[in-house]
Amino acid sequence: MALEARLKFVKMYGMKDQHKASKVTILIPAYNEGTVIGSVIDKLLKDLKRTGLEKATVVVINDGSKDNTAQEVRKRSGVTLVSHILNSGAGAAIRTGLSYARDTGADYAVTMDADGQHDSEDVARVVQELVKDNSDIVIGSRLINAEGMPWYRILGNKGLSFFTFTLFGLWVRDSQSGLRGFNRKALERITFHSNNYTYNSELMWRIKQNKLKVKEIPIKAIYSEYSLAKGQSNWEVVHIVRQLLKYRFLEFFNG
Amino acid sequence: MDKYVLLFILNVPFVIFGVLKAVMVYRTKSVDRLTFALRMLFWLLILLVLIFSHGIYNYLFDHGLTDSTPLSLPDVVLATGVMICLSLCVRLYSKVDAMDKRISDLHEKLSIYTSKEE
Repeated sequence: MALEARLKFVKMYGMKDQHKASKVTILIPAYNEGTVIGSVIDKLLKDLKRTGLEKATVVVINDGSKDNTAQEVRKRSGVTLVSHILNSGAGAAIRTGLSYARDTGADYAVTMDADGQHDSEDVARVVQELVKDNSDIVIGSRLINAEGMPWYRILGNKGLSFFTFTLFGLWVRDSQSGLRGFNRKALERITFHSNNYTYNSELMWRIKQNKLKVKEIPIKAIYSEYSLAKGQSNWEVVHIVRQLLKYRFLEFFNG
Repeated sequence: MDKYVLLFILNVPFVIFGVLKAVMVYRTKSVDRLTFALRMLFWLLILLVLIFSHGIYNYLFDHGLTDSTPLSLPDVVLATGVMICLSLCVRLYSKVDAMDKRISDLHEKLSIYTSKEE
């Protein structure tokens, strides 16, 4: 049964053997996700095995959690834990993860959320697109098919994507998506400095600056009461816009 | 010496410094052509305002857009002081931002290092 499912998946997504030889790192930034991180990792490992990515390295970046996130991760074998000394924000955790992937020689790195919002099958699809399409960055877009997404989240995400485009000139439907894949070239070139959720928009800017090829694929967003309570609220938009204007201003005068 | 000429002499070094910095940054390929063009345009506008400050004042006064007195020596000192403060603010802001980045980088490297040690 497991073999049939795998063959079906391979047929659907046309997995090539070349990606199996590549080093893939899955990065999961986590802050106080003790209640769900265990089930997220378990499902991810199962889906990775099913889709031929059993050799992928799973790295959880614990951003100074105060709960049992680290303990839950340590219970799972085959998962690497990188812990921040201080809580620094989602952007800092992603940056640490990308840095770790780069330093350990990853060919591809995929970031995903720790709150169960992303279907781990979509992680495999992102890897496949990176290999197949020769894109430098693949973004899992929740807005191509926004079914199930609350209207205020759609509004906030579209608004920020539009603002990001206005400020930095790169149009991406879902600039705030946490499910993104990077190839080696992107890993080596991308740097960003935002520590909080501003990193989503700043990343688009750095992608444009480095002339990287971006592709968006539709993904399924899983919304629960828990995941809706997590993540960025629309009120943070003001802070994000202010920070982005600051970066633009500083870069305009200092280069 | 004419006060408008004094205003020009005291403030043109900021423009020269700004233009040189823009050229230097462009040559080291830290910014793209559009950003470089915008920066040059910005400093050119400042330079034009400095050169034609007397003409701009006359135009505004003749058309009733201002009823302020012509430029005085304290005005020159004030304007130059504002330019100095603005430049210092931008430089300080940049330094603080650069330090923030360094601290973040250090924290990142330390976290990876200590995690590997574990």
